[in-house]
Amino acid sequence: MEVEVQAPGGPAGAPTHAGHARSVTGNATQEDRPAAPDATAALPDDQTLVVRAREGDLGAFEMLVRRYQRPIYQLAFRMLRDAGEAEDVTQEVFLTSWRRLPELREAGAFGGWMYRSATNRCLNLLRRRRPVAPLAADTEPGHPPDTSPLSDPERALGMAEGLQVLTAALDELTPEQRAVWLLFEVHGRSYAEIAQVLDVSPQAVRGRLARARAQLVERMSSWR
Amino acid sequence: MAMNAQSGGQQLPCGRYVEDIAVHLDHGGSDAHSRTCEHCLVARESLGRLAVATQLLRDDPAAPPPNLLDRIMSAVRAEFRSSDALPLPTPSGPSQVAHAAVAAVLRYAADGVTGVWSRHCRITPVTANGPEVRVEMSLSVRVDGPPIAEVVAEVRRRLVAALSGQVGLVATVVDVVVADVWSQEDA
Repeated sequence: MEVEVQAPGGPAGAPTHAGHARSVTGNATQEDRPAAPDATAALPDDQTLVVRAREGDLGAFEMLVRRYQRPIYQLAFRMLRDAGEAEDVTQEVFLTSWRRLPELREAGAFGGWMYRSATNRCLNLLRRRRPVAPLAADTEPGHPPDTSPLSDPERALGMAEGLQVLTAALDELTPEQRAVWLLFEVHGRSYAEIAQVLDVSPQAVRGRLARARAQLVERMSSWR
Repeated sequence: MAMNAQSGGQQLPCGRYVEDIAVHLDHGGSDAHSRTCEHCLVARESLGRLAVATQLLRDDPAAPPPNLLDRIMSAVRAEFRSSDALPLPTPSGPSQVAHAAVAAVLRYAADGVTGVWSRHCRITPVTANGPEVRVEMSLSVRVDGPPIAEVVAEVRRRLVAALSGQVGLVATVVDVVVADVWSQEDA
């Protein structure tokens, strides 16, 4: 689990719990090792943050956003291949979670909830984007086929070629296969969790993952 | 568990399944067939490439724009209504203090005890115009730290001190519940 360390003086006006807790651990060298396991242990778990956020602690909610915005954005970006839409999805996912925090029965299940919400939003967007007949997608007027394998942010970052080939290959999967592959291989979610996200059986997830992987393997043979 | 066509496996002309080769590759194993079979060798090479590219995607350089957090929090703040207030007697007369503000002070005080993460926090007035209040708080306490009873006593002491010293309220009842424990390995 990636955890970012909160900067002191959060905009919520409340004391920042992270900064304070790090100072009471009494080990000054910890401050200089943000990526060390010790430093991540000094941040409250999701359950703690969800309980606080439910009671109106904006600082706690901000820590949850810091913790999950990057993976959620990355999932949305790889699903949608559009930075602007990925930003919108990320913002909507968190804003909706804030509104619906009281409905989350298992406070510790926040992460899975975010992935579920983001995946479903992406799939809905992609369904709207595609015409009824999926095979005609690339010939639809107004939706010219994306001949460039790289989006602008990727080009600007001087992306490795292997990543170009992979992202282009991901584009050729069905949105559901892409979601399954990304959630499992990149985001480390379990079969059971992905099954819940897509409302299918874990066996169906396994099958989709296998098909996605086989198709990607075939595409990767063009990368030397 | 071996793959088959029913579970979505992709079969090579030699009869082996790509997914099974992937499993062998993960465990560093191979047999006489897979070391010499042309189809298996090509599949192994492609699987290796996929593994390398997948790792690149796990370290995804695509990042949300730096202002996304602020945009999200501005939207949240715009919707947030902090309505609860507690009566607060002051030298110049009766006043009020937001419940959320007092809760923030108390959580900060509790979190100052090593191994403590405060969770639920509720402050209820005992008398109509203050300053007496009742405090309820739940905690997640580090299990491999000092004895929990000592930790709870210290939290209670700090809550009382913070309430009177930093807010000006008096705690007549302090209910502290240990709702959960955590250990260093959880993180």
